[in-house]
Amino acid sequence: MMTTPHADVAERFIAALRTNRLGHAYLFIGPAGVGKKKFAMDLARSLLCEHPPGELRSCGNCSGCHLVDANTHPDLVVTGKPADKLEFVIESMRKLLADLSMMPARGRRKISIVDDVDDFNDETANCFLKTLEEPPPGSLLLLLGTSPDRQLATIRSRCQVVYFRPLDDKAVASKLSAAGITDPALAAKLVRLAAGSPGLAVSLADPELWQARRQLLETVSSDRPDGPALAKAWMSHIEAAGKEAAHQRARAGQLLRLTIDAYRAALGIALGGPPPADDPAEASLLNRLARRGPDRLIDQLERLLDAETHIDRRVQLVLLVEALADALTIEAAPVLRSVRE
Amino acid sequence: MKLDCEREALLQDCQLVAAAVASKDVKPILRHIKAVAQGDRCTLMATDLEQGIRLEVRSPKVLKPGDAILPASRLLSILRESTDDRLTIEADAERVMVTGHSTEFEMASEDPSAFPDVPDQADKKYHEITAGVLRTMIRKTVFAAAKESTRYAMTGVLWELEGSTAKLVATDSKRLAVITGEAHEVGGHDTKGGQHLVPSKAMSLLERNLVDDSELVKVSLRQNEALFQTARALVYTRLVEGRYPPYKDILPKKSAVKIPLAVGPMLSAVRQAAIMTDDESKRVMFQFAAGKLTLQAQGAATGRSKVEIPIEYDGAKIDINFDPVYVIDLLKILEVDDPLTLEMTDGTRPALFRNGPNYQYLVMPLS
Repeated sequence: MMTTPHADVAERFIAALRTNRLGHAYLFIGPAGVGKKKFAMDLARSLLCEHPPGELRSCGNCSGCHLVDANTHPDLVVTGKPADKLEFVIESMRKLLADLSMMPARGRRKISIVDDVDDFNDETANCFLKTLEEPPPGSLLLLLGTSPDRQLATIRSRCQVVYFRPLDDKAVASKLSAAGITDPALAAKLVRLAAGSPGLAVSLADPELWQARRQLLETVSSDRPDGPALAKAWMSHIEAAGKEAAHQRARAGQLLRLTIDAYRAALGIALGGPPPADDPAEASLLNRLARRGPDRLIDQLERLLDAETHIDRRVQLVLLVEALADALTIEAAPVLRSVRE
Repeated sequence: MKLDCEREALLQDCQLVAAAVASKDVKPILRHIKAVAQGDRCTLMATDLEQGIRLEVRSPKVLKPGDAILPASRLLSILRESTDDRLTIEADAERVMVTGHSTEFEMASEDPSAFPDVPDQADKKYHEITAGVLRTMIRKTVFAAAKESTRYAMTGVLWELEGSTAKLVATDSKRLAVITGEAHEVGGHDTKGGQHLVPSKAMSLLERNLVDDSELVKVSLRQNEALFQTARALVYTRLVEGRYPPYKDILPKKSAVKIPLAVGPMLSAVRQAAIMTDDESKRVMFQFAAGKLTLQAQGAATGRSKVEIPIEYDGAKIDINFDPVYVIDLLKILEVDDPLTLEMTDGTRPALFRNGPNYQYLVMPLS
């Protein structure tokens, strides 16, 4: 068996292969960054390997393995939404269907890994349904998504669903140290933030992000916070991610995640909990924030959590950031009402 | 790898191979050509993972054997612009050097093992077809295949090889072209029990590599792929999946009338009548009467046209509507003095054009 933290999933595939009951479409569900794509790639590699040394394993030396590693294997298609788009556009789907319309080239199987199934639009999903239900013989479709609720029922019902659990903290920590993040204080924070997703932990390790978080928290906890200036700084941090809306939205989400975490910690202190012992700078920052009292912190935290869903729902970032900056800097709480109401 | 080549010859070879290079693909290595030099031979390869080609370079001087990845578009530019008679190409996994008499080009390269090799001809069973026959067969069918369709099977051309006949079929559901040609079977090769759909793109690639009419082309159709071997080139393609329409059931067994037509005047008449069609009414009415064919078209925004030509016919009147494009497509690929007959029953059933005993072209009438 291949080395994977998702042994339960691997066993399920081994059992399916042993009994010759491998399905034609699987929907992998699990948080972003837990290794769904890695697992799918490893599975594809083992199925396309020309001299597999064991069940669900690949030799790494045959031309099948070389071509998978070089991403040029004719029987393996890896697709997803384009990096600069927020949706899985129909052109990418048509390309995939055209690829699937060809007979396998090297073996008897052809495998397609379809990432970002969450971001199918209706057009894409409808265009896919017929093939997903009855793909050409020898096809294996591996769809990757983060939540079953985000898939159309018509897609879900045509796949076998495979759940990927978040990893334990130890696994995340070891992944972080493998990625070269050795600062123990930072690593501890990242492990907590990542909630079992090594990919997320690594992506949150960007020093610029932490710098932006510090600035943001310093501004909101100062005596006379300047809302408009905060919104401006916030936006310029987001825009530094690039021109593409998709990149900006990802960056906005990351900073929001860190801010929410800080507010949670501050709320803990405001309610009588201890500040972090090993990081004095962080502790003084959180203490200042905690002085606002639990009521206001809860109000603001609620606004931050709302903002997280708004980012997902594509609310315009400028409006979102300006409203948030106001909410976090205005003195009195009553005017701040959740958008949800 | 190190090679010494004649520039003009290598340019032609590279142009042939570059036709198979992936045009816009996310995988950068597929935009390159792979060269394999061994002994006194050098093979160029290109593929877009669906089609591929192998081509033997003419009289290369192999100075050092090995594999290399050559950037296709830059190399072509160098070969085109250079004024030297001979060029030296030296390459390893990191870079490619092209050196002429007083010029020097250096390009980045990639690891040759990451390139998906085009399969080699190894089959003992195949059919032999002369290049001349094959070229005609390709030209008379490939245009009738569906260009872009969600019914992918119809984007390919169906190959049937049995005994000493080769048959090619193409359709886009509104017209159907069937041609048979002479072939020579070797080692018991046939396509019975399977369905072999060759993508149109591979057919065009093959056509470009047919040089001498008398040259023999070895065709082997495997379960999932097809290989076409000419004297210097090997064209490889994966086959298209899907169920092909049962074309034999569609071809009419008998018909009421047979009308001989002259290709040249007919083409001119249809083209003239088609001037007055527009996007909404893409139709020309063909009215066959004793001694006379009248073509009429009318468009709301365009106007109307009427063209008459004499024909050898003395039967009952038949009116039938066609999309002129489908008729023009056929007439365009025929020679002016080719024999052509039209077989029909009435204005609602498919009409069959016959060019000699081997070529049939069926068009569905418009209602």
